[in-house]
Amino acid sequence: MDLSLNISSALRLLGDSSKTQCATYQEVLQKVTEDLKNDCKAADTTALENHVNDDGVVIQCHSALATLFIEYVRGGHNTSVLTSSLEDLNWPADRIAEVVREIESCRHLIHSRLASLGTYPPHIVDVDWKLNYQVRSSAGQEGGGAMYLVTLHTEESQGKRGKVTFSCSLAELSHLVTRLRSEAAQVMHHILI
Amino acid sequence: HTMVPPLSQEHKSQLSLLVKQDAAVLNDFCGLAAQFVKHGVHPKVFASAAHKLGVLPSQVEDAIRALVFLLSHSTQATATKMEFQDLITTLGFTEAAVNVLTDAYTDNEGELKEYLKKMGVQIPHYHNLEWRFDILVGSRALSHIAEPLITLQLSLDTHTCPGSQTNEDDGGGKQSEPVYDKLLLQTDPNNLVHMTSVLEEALHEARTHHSRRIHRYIK
Repeated sequence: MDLSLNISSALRLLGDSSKTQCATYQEVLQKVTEDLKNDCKAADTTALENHVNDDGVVIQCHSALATLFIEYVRGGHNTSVLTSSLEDLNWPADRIAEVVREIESCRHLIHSRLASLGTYPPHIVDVDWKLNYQVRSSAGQEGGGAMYLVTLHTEESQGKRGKVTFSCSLAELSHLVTRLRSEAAQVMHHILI
Repeated sequence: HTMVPPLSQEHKSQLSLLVKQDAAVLNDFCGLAAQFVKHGVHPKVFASAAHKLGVLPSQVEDAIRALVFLLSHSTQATATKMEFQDLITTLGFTEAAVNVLTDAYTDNEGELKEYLKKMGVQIPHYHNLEWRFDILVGSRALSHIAEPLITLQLSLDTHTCPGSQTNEDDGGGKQSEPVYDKLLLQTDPNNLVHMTSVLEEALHEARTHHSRRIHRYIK
């Protein structure tokens, strides 16, 4: 894994049991895991700031460990790469095992948060529909065939939600469903190969 | 049918330009009103007509819009030929002018009904769906991935109103085809299957006994 000098130095310090006590190491590990499992934007390091005599070293260790977690998932690495990287930083086996366990427990969550970053077209996650028959309008139109109102619910980057609404006749909805059916069949065929 | 609502003072004032014109000029204005309803009129046409009449282009445009209002609202109220003639006679049009306007009213009935439809409640309407199946292999935030992704282009008719044309490169002011909004969307295989299944249920609903009964009742 490609880690900067500052991150590597802070990690080396965190793994060194002669320089970072077990209790402090556990506190940092727990805080990083909690912050990444909850909303990352709400990460609060005030608890770590209680280490008043360390010139912010504990907070740097927190940032370095969080970076390690994120880079591990971002790069799609496996546990042997992580173990090897921490061994290079002279981490003891017990601390390596604990970090590997915690990273794997929140890997999926970090992955989905990273996937939601960046810009991409609205992603359809659900669909609603209504079927209407028009009785009359102010323009003088009377009667009319079946008219569907379809709403596609979408998710966009940074968790924004959107909607796309359109109307269509029975024939047009048949056309749309035929397209979607053919698309789904071909996609599934390729995925299963 | 409903009564034709009385014209506002503003509309009457805008139509006063037409009241002064002879039948031939009024016939030209009726032609422009018909064009306006179908596919809009280029501002150059207003300027050219204004130059010939010695008035401002805005007065010509206002007169045409007021004429379209008169014709469309009479159509909406399903006014008979006689009721329409009575209305325009009260506005001060001569007998020859009344005949020209009545012909425009009856000859363009279909186009005026279509125009009224466009003025009513409009919701973007489905036109087409194109799709593409991709595999996402990486991004700035995530590398070494293999995620199936479906990109969709949904074309919707958003019923852009005909009216004054502003296209500089289209001197004739004609709009031969509707313009569709093309929306770029994406989804994944699971949501694609889910969406297909939900919309299949929607199709089934129109074919139920209950739906057919409502449809027969409304017809």
